[in-house]
Amino acid sequence: MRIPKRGLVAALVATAAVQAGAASASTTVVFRFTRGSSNTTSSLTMLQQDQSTGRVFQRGDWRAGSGYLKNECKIGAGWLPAGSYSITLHSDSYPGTKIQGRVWELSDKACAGGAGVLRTQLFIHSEETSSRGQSCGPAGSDYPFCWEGPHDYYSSGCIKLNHFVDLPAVDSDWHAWGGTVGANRLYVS
Amino acid sequence: MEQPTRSRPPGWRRRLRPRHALWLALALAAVGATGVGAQLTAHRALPSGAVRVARTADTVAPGVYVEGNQLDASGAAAAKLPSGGGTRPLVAPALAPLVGADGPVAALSPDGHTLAYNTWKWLKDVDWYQPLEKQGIQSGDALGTASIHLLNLATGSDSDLGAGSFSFAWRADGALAYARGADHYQWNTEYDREVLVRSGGVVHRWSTQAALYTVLGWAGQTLLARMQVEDGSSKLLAFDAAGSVRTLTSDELVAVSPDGTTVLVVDPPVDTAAPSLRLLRVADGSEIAALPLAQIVDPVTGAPVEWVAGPADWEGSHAVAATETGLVVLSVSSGAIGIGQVLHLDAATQPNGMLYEPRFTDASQGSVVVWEDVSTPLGGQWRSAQLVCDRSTLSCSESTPVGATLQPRPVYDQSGGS
Repeated sequence: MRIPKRGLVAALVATAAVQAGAASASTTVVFRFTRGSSNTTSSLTMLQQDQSTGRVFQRGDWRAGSGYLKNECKIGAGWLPAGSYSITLHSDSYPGTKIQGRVWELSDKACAGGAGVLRTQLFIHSEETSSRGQSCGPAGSDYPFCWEGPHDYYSSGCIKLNHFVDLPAVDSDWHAWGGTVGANRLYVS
Repeated sequence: MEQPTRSRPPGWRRRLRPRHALWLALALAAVGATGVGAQLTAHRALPSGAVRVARTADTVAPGVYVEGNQLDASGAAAAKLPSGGGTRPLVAPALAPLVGADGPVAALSPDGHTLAYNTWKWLKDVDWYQPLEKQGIQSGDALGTASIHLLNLATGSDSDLGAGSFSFAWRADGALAYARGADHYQWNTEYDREVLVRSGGVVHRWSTQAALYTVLGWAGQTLLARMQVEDGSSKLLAFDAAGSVRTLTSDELVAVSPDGTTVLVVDPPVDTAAPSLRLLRVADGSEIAALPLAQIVDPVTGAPVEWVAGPADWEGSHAVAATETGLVVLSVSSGAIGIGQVLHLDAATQPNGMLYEPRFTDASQGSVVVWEDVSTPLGGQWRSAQLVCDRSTLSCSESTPVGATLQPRPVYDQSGGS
């Protein structure tokens, strides 16, 4: 589900359409994750922008979740620490034991600006199988590769996206806009 | 079998042997002097409600703490360090970035003679808000080194368990379990480690393969460790002996019972829409009792709490743990988990305002010491403060905030049983 766009965002999107043709090999695709009032109501923005000037050519905004408590220094529970991240891996068929399918692996981050714990094993992902499908069971339980609903925005720290609408859009746009792994691809605030 | 003591301030172990710990025995005697009234408090129903917090610059929290490169027992009633005085310098600051507040940064041996503490040395100066690559750092670069130090409190001698050692738990007989990985943590590289047990000067490997272990505590002769998996979630493992490991649960450890036979765990909300606290038997993982978090209602918001987090302090039949709006005191018996008191602290509800490592401060369980990260502007230096909270008057005194790495951390061990 895309986050309803405010006026400024709508203006940027309109501008993006005009400027789309200006994108070139000097563009980069970056994420911005803005922690919201709760762990399940944050937002993920993806930008295609000029590497040199920061000029934005394309933009998308989606609802996202991170963690299940609002302390970035709680291992395996707190939302993503503030700061800049690298993307160290992208896969459309990641075969992990707890995470599968379309993922972006993030660099390690020390919380509290370096004063706190090292957060590791961080990803942007959803709840889907390595073949980007669903593996669900009887109602009443939460299945790790099945997107049952808004409760699935909770995570152990990773950024989570809705499997049905948002993750396909993010992944499709990321490829279409020329997304690559590398330094400074995500900023969390 | 040695009986666990009923309760004690931070720094005292459940399995403490007073004959081996004269200085700590002195402290227990001092606590015992107020024991009659204390027990009355423990058995009186205490009200839930909003807690008032007042900043008090000269607050001295009861108990034993480490703060930066100092051991501080000056708040431990009559307790003094064996060589005299209330403080002792450490050879390196107590710090554990691989553990955080998920376990103690320092713990006393059962005989009270040795302090184990985590240290960490950054190998490079890093601005973690900025891209590390722009600071000349690449994936695989060594960034820091963990090392457990052992301070002999009688002689003052300090030794270490080698580079890569961190997280520990003392067994009742003095054996020390800990995790050890490669000498250096390397950025963006999985930092696998082994679980080791040091007993009688000999180190035994208990894990069968390296993984993302963190040692949590002993439950009798069974060692509990967390194994982190790829999404940051974890399993709670039980090592019954060297090479003998089983998954106890995928829930998070909250506390080990004083007798070491049971553990209190909680479902993380990420795994279920209806999380519960559960009391499990360590021997076989069977569930003895459960308490849905939906029944723990914040007295101010009127809403159920969404999470309860360890490490909690479990003394006698009561445990105190952090929630997203404050603290909950649980009554735990052999067959049930009850709600004793729910405390709301506004500070806990702020972003990054979580309460860490709550500990009962005395035999009465009438007060709790806890620490918090003070809300910090994005990019600013983090600061933390200590709270000493009176459960009867629903009030806390808050220390002047200090830099996050200088925060007094309680000296304790999550172990139980003998």
